[in-house]
Amino acid sequence: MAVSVETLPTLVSDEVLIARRRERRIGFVVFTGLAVLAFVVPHEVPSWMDTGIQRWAQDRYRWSILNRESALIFRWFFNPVTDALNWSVEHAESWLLALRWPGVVAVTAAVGWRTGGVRAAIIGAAAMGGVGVIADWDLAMRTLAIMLVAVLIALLLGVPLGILAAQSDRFERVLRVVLDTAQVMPVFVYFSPLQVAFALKFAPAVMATVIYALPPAVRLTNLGLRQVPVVATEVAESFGSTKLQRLFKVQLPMARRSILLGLNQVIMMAFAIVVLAALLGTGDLGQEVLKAIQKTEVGTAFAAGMGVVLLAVALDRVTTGERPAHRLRLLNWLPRVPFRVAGAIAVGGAVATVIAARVFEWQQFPSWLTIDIAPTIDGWFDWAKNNVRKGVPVIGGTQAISDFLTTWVLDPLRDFLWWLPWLVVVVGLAFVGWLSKGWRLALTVTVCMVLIGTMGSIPGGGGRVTLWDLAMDTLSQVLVAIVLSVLIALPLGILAGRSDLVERLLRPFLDIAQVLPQFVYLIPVVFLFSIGRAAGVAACVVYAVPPCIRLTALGMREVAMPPREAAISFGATGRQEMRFVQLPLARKAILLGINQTLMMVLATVIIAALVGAGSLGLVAYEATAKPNVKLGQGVAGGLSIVLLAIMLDRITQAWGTSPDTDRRT
Amino acid sequence: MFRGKRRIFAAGLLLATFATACGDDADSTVAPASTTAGATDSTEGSDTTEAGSDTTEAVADTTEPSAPSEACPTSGEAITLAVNPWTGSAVNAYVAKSIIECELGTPVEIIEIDENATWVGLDDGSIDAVLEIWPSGHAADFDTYIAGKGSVVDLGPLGPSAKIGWYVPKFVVDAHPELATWEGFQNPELAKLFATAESGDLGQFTMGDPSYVTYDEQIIANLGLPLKYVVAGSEAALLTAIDQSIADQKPILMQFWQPHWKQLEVELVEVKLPDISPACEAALASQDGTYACDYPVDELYKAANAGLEEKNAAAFNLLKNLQLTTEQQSEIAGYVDRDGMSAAEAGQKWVDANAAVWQAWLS
Amino acid sequence: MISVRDLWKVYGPRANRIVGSPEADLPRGELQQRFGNVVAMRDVNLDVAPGEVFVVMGLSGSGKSTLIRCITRLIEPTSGQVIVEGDDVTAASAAELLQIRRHKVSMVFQHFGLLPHRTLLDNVAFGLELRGMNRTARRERAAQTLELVGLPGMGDYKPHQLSGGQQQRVGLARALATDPDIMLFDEPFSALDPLIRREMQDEIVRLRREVRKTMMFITHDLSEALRLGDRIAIMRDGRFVQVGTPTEVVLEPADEYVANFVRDVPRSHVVPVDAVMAPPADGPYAGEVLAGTKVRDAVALVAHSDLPVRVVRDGRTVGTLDRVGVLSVIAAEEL
Ligand SMILES: Nc1ncnc2c1ncn2[C@@H]1O[C@H](COP(=O)(O)OP(=O)(O)OP(=O)(O)O)[C@@H](O)[C@H]1O
Ligand SMILES: [Mg+2]
Repeated sequence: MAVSVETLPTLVSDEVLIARRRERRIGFVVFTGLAVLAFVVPHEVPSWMDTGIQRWAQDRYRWSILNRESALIFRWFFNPVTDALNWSVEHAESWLLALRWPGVVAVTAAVGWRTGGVRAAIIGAAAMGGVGVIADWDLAMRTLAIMLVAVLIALLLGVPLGILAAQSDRFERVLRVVLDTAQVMPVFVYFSPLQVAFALKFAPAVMATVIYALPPAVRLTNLGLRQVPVVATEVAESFGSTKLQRLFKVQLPMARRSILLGLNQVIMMAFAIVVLAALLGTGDLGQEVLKAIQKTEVGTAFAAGMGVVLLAVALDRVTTGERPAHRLRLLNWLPRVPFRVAGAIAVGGAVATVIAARVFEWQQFPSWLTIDIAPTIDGWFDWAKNNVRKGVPVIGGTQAISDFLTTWVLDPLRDFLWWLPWLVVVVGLAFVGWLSKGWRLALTVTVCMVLIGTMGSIPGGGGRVTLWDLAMDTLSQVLVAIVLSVLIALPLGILAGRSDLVERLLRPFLDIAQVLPQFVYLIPVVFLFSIGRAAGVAACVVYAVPPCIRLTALGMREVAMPPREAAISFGATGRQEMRFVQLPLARKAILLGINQTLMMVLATVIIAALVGAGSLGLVAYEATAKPNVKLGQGVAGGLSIVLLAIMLDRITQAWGTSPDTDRRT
Repeated sequence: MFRGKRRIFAAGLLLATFATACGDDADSTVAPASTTAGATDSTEGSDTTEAGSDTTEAVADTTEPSAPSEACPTSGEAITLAVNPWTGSAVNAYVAKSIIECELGTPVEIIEIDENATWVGLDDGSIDAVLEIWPSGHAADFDTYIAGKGSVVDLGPLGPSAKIGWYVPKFVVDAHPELATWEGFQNPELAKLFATAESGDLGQFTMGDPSYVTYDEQIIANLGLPLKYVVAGSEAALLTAIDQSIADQKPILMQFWQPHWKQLEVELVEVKLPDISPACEAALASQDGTYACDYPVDELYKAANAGLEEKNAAAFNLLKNLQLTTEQQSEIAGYVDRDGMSAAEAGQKWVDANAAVWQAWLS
Repeated sequence: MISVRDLWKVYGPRANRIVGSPEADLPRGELQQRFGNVVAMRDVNLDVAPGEVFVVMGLSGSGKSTLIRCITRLIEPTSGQVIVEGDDVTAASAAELLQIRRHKVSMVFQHFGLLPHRTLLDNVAFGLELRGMNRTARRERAAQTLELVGLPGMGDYKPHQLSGGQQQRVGLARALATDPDIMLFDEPFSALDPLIRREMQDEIVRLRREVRKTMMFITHDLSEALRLGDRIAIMRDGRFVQVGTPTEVVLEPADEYVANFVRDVPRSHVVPVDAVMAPPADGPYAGEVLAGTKVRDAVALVAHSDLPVRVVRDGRTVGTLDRVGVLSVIAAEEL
């Protein structure tokens, strides 16, 4: 990486250097030897490696279909949970509807005021009101009900898991694999099983959302707790706190920022799959998007999608609102009200609005307030159709980019990966792992790749195609998407990290890009880039860029002031200060951003399949499409995506940690 | 210092919410059936919500005299009909809904759901019936649930038939009449008209949603056509590709089907494939990958949860008897796709005008 | 009050095998290289009597913080024994350890260790909160303590709104608030200005005199050590090189290292009058000083008059001090 800088110069004696050099030489020899060997043995994945995982998964699925009524796990676990989930969502929905729209807006404002001050209240209420303005209010309330339940469950599960993970390194390692799987395993793979377990509508939708949105809650709780300075825990200990006291009085409060960021991510992720969940018959805003997409009505889909985004924004702002350290200047004119009074005003206001809403029969959102943004969006889309796809000076337009990407980047890369004997790919990636961190990582990479080899084959192309070949196809697309995303996101992230203005300008776009259901831009992407892998790459990039920008900017901002001041005091220019202090210190966060980009790209492989990217994503999608015959294939495809993700994730993470620094010092 | 107050505040909010929510429950129990039905009929979609779920259009609609008749009073356990995301599926269901509610007095809930997700619902009874299944895409579901487990029963044919096939836009055939039949595609030069970056030197054959039945890969291979099979991945992508093709006048060859609303909007021409031969029928049965003929015609059928007959015999009978001709269905679908009615309005309009037809189903 | 026996702290893998072995005497770099271990503290023995102020000094990295943390096992010692008020800390169960930490010992941290998410009041009340004291009581007590350290009425501030010196005083207040018998100070005054520092030192002196607290006190400031300490220990490379009264340390440094350490101390600040007095004679006297008074503080009295001064202990005259005696001390100071 360009930004890599040794953070702690370690004194190393000649002896150690020599030992390292020797190990390095051994490594080169070993890997060269292995690569040569790999050329000699069969170039294709041998069929005896097929572990039959497809058949196994298919049989399990079949068994559960046939035994849904009788099996104990259904009677004592799935069915009660299903009922509880449906009950929760239905009640949440009826409360929201009973509040009427002014009530919901007022409650949003009240909660926002309490958690994040007047600013959060205004933004939250505006966003919530905006939902009614551009989308169908009642459908939105159903979406909100599902999301509230799902986010709550994700937190109730995620934060404790994060706490446990922070206590034990071993548990953290195990959990990480589980979380990676949850985050990357395409929803389509577990849709049908979830449906068998939790029936229709809300329960499976909530479960799918929880599975998908849980990881950030766990991860960021864990991270936050581990970042609490050792002194703080020592202080707590020195005054005789028990473990629990330490956790609740010191560690959790100090990890609050991180946990809130986790909540923010949970909300974003949850809303991002609203539309997929609508496939299960939730009948909410997500379904509006689906229906519009089915009729290729981009504007309508966008309007409904924006409804989802505004809901997410409202929920996010009022739950994670930071109370600003300095009150808004304007508010200094107001007398400082004590919290009790403020709270009373908020509650009173909310109750009054609710009652007024009932008395005056404000049944539905007033129609004179609604705006149909669909025609505007369609107009923009029409403009883009004519002016972006073709006839752009120099670059020629998106169609030309797409053709170039396919013919000159994706094709050669894929053909190269296909041409390489499979073991050479394994050895090569293991070598990269070894270079990045050492033998252990090389082993991890090897295990991941060999496991992909054991996934078997599926019918296709007039014969059978191994999952390995599909994985190579996917890998080529993923690599291209990651490189493009990072190229776009890093500069923007650095800019946003240094300029408040840029950050404030970018923020709404990031929110939209991250939460706007991917389905909404499916049609524009197809129109601009044409069906195929290039469109898939474009879809991945749109989705993967925001988190990378966010984390880069965050990392830049969290660099403590003293070292930066020190640099400036020595006469560093703004750029020098950035290059020598801020960037190196933000390196970890930036690498985390790249790592997240990668996970996002792999999580979007499935959406890419819906615009013609084929490969593993398509295999996984077919698990939902034809569960009775293709669930097993889907599981194998999904697992292959997960294995690719873990492999790439571990390698990029290794870049972020230098081999011999101790966390606690 | 803050914590105590925060709690008081939260409790207050919760109380307020409870108070209003409970109040609402009391209100809405007065006449839930009538308000629900009336309000929701007029919009295609938000039917399953409870009180006050009318949308803005609904208000406008109900003020007009020509709005669909106020719902009939209903009672008892509701019947759930699945609507899959295409017009035909929706209008069948709304026709049935109107008749069941007004003639049998049983409330009907419509659930809009993905067609593949429908089957698990049919299996456990959370969906009582679905009125339009395309057999070609659901052979495995038929085997699993109807023939195998027996949790779903076949309600017989719906009436209309559908047909999958290869399609090109009309401008393609206008320019190259030989492309109206499959033989035209044997010519590599002509096939190359369909080339894209994805397909390289070959012509591209575009498949839409992979959940639909497809023999295209086999047909291409067995007829030896210089085409490359590319899966667009979704119907929306395929439809967009059609728009793109028309806009650019760049040929596209794809799997498509009739009836479909897009056929009303753009002119598509079906490419003639070899007639179904005994060899092809054998290939279909044995799944040996040697299929090389046209797609068989899809006779649409209906299916219900096996418990429906016991739950509501009258409704079961009605659904079993319900049949539309192709003309009738496309007439109702036309109200929606052409005239912009909601599916509920369209269904009601047809029911109002065709009592003779559906009276027969009630016997 | 505090006894420490054969205490070792070795960082790194398989620390136990280093303790007491010849390897422990290897140069630091070599040990780290070959075994990956660091000996932060070795073979420390000490006893602090009730009411005594025990000062620990030493260069940076010599193991002072390590020692003081081992007293309440914030750092787990590798071997050895720590006994606090008769309780064997090193053998204490988790529950016993909690009781010791909550009621017997409190600590001021080198880098303040304030909890950023709590107000000053809640920071100071932290120890009391852990003890389970009720809210009003503990906040009232915290407010008093804040006043004591010169931050009255700032209870609602957050730590980041304070200067370094103010933060340090909050850390001090937090330790004072729990009012334990034993207090551990890790460079508690490093960030204070001279005026406040003097006040705080006076507070320590008062605590020792009036409530007879037992204290362990780490400082880099020799005059502070001399002023407060009943005894001073000098650490180097993790071990004690000398333990003694300020006079002993200054007048009889155990080795070159200590000598260097105390080189700049003016003798008159350390030497008590009884060390240079003449045998008692019969008056007349210009006045009297208590035995134990530092020579420096007697200068004014002696300079005032030609007559000698009477040195008194327990009301009895034990000697006389004249200009010659005083000047002999001052003359011996290297300037
Ligand atoms: N976690 C650790 N791992 C390895 N060595 C450590 C660790 N913590 C401390 N040390 C080493 O132990 C030695 C003693 O550290 P300690 O903090 O006790 O020094 P100190 O005397 O308090 O210094 P200062 O006056 O700068 O505060 C140091 O050399 C330090 O490098
Ligand atoms: Mg220290």
